[in-house]
Amino acid sequence: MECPIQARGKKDLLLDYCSHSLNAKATDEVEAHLAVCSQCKAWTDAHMRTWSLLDDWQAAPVSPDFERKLRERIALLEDRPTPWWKAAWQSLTGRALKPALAAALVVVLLLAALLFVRPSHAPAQPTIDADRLEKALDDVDMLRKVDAPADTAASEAM
Amino acid sequence: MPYGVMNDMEAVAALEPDAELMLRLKAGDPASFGLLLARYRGPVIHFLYRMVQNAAVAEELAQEVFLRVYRARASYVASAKFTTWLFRIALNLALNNLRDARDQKENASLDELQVADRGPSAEQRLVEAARLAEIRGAIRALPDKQRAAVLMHKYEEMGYAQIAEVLGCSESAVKSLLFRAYETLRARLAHMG
Repeated sequence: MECPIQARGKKDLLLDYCSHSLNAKATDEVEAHLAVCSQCKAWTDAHMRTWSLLDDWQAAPVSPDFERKLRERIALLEDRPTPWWKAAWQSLTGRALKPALAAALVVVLLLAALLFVRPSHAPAQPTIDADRLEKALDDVDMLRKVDAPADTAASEAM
Repeated sequence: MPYGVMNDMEAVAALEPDAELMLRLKAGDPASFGLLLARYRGPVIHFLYRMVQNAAVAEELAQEVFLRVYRARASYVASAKFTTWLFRIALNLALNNLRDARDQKENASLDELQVADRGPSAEQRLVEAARLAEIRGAIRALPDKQRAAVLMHKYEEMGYAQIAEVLGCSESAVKSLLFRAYETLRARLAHMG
């Protein structure tokens, strides 16, 4: 058997031996090794002493009214009305509608994507510059006014 | 249902009786909660007591653990071992409590007096109280994760895999935590051996 202390990642074998969680065959192997390896023997003895000291620390006994208090708190919890949104969600999910809800959510997300995300290769829409349009209309008006007296004078001359 | 195919409850029951009790509770059987409580009240309180080292706080936290279990019954899915889930709740509550209480002064005198009452004579009681105070102090001095790992390994007799699941780390990390923790404890308690 490879020395658990020398071999990398084998120390848990000694830990398992000390906590009596090895099977009979593994226990025999470790004991055979401990008989010839002073380093492992010293480690195991020291660990057993620590283990035994920890055994002395017993937890405080449970209060006799622990369960009564807990039952009271549960009763309070039961009396509290469920919020409407939680009840609605529970009734929906309780009917095994989770797949349908998930599908509906996917459809909504796809629609939203279609509405709000424009493809980048779409042709640009022509834009109208309001100032330039107004200026052009003014120019047309001015030309009409300029042309109008000239037309009148020409007709009078004829 | 085809022959040989188990429904959810049967499948889980075949794996773990505690999960079956939770599924029964989910289905509306309150007696199942009583059975779970009877089975795990002690281990949970003892684990919390050793984590926070205060009996009253441990019981308060344990109440919260079982309340959370009860509240979660409707959404319970038997995806992990019941005790793993239970101890993960307990550990999180204990760690939150330790973090909140980190700056506060310790008040352990009551617990120590309770333990000290066991000895037959006053002198023996004092010696025993001092001895236990050293053991508690050594465990309290461990980093939170190491302490939790030692308590689950030593007192709750959990395997490396389950401790790893409760702590949310790998099995090799648990072995490493345990080794460091036991080495520290051994050094601190060497004079008592």
